[in-house]
Amino acid sequence: MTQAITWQRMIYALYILAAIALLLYTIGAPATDGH
Amino acid sequence: MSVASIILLLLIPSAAGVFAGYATGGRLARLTEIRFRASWLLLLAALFQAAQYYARPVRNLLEHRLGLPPLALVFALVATWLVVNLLQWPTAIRLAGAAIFLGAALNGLVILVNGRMPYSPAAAELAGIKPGLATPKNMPAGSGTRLGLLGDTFPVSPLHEVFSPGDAFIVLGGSSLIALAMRGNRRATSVLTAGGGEQ
Repeated sequence: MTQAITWQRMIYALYILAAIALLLYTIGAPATDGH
Repeated sequence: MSVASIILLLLIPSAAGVFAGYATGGRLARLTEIRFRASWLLLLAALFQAAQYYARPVRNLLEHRLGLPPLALVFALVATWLVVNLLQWPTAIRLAGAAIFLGAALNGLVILVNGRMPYSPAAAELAGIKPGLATPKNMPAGSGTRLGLLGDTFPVSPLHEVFSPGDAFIVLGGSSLIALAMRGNRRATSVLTAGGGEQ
């Protein structure tokens, strides 16, 4: 049970990090030669 | 999205935020205390963003048939997501979100008045970018460019990338948001506000 809660928390933390990454990807506009 | 963009926009802010969070006594598990609402707006914005580069039919449909500039759509979706979430975050995290919002607004403004994000050819040369290169999001600045100072003007030579003042706010805000959220809502708020006023 406790282990399941820990996994849930870890997955939610990764979801938060992924959401922030999406945020930065969408509104950041650096020029690069790799597009 | 290039490898350089992934490093500059995703890995560096995330890693810096996690590092700063741990350095100031935070824990990754405390990220779960922050609530992100309406994440589908971000996902939709990311899909439209990706479509600009990799799905020309979608881009043509939005731009020519529906008259919706894809970049305006992306920024509008993200702005809506930020407003929805900013209002319910504790003060310190709200400040980090506001820095992201400011960065988005600066980038959005320059894109709005120029059609795309202009980059300084001189800075691009320093960063080792091919001269005159244009993408769905970027174009070289010229004599007709407006608000050029807010465009991509800071070269990052090792990554072959040029970033804007708006990008700097976005990266700083993103890192701060992660670090503050790792400290936990209540602690982040009480430490960074003058009177320790909490939500």
